[in-house]
Amino acid sequence: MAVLGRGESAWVRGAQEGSLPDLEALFREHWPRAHRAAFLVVQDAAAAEDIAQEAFLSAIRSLERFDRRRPFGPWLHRIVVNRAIDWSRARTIRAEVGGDAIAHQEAPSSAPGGEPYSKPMWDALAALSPEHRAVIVLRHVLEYTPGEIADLLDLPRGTVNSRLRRGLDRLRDELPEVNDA
Amino acid sequence: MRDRELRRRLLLLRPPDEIGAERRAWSVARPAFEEREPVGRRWARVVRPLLAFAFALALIAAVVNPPVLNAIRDALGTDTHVTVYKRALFSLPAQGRLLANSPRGAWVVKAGGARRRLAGYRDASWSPHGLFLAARKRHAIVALEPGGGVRWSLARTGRLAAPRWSPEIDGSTRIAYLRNDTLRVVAGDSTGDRLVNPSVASVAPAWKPTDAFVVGFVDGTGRAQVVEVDSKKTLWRSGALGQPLALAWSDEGTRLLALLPHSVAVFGHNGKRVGGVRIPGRGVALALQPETRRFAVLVRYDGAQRSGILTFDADRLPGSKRLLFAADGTFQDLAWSPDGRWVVTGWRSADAWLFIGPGGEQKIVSGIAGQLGSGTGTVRAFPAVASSGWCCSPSG
Repeated sequence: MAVLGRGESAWVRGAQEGSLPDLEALFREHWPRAHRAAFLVVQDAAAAEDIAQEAFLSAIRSLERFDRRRPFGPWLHRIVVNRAIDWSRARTIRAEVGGDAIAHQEAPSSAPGGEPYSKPMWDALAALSPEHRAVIVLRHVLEYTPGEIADLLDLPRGTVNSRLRRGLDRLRDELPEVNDA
Repeated sequence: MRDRELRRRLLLLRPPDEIGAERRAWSVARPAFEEREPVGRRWARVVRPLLAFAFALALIAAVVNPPVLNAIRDALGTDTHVTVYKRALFSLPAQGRLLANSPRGAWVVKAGGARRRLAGYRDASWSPHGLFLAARKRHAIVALEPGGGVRWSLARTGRLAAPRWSPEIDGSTRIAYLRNDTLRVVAGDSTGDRLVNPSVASVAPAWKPTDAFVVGFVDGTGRAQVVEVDSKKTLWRSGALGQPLALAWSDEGTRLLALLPHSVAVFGHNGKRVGGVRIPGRGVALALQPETRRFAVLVRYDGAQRSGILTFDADRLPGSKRLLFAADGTFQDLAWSPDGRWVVTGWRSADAWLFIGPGGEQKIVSGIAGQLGSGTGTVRAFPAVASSGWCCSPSG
């Protein structure tokens, strides 16, 4: 039930004042990209859903303090991507408690029309560190500029540019058929 | 690779069940938004603690007053052997460590009386050898060392409950837990979290002590189900049981007991109902005595502020019924000592833990809410003895 004809700042103001329809408008507008960004960074469907949910809950808890002159999306994406990076780091350093594990089963859903090369892309993305995946996703899925990414992740712009460059180089290495084409 | 090509390929990588995920997320976000504290009620943040403090002072005065202890003695009668430890650091009457869950966190009490609070953790339960604990935080399932070190944390939103650690099989373990109305299982090293059943009742899952990861649970239709979790194969499913309150396996895994509001049902290894017994009151808790088929049931007598503990032999129902203890007030949980000689219950209305031992010997530790609860001594903070919470190592 999105509210039509009203801007994002009006939705934020309405949500701050307790309007459920305005909150829903914000949610419907921002959930899909936040969810997808989390999924591409953590590469785990359940964790991505949880991270995006938690980011929204965190945003709701902090809503009254939010400066409505600022856009809502970057605020939310900052929470989502930082949590996704933290989750991915934690996954790699978790000490084993029990022996062998249930086989990891997460995988992307089939691409529309049986897209033949989504699996290599998924694997290539998995070869990157979470920090590199995050900047790639912020730049090429959420379409932030390197300067905006630097602000979101509290990184120097040079670091963002470097991660973008190295991430893309690694993707090219992992996807040789694209370079050959 | 050109940017446009990269973008196109990234956009093809979509999370599974996007629409369902959005629906679930909104179902979580909406109530969270609606439950936000309106600005106008913030004055209550100041006033409420003052009221709570005054209430706590009044309650502490009531608890430490000798008439309260006298009332306990009156409830027990004069022909029983009773030892009352009056608001003191205590020791357990048997080896092992006792796990309790309070509003302030989980407590591990060692046999010698030393105790440690694991702040902020709820619903804690032991790993098979008592080396770790599975617990939940608000939005995570956590594996802990009894000393408080966090081994791993699995972030999950929604309503989390009842993490239960499986037996160890070939060096591997699993943890079953409830998330909203679903049953999920994760490996003991935090990997492979996955859905086992999409619709379950809010009854703690019970692991079968066998050579495969088999869990019993109550599904959304009120039936007991037993599933081999790695293959997701359903081994058996009972008929409708109404509203089961708890499940427990016998030590060798040949009997599954279901506590129902006014009876206990016993199922054999293939799901066939092999026994059952009515109980005189409303069932509250059920616990199998280690290395036997004897079990204890905590009942709240209908129409009376009185509770009792009954024991039965699962193979000789109902003739084996024996009243272990009964008294006025509210009891809330049950656990056997690792050696099977003692059973403990939380006597909530008396703010005490009651240990019943061989020959009916009774030991009471009073002032539990103050020692292990909120620190204010309020009965609201009375800690619950965890399911199978008296564990494990003889070295305690």
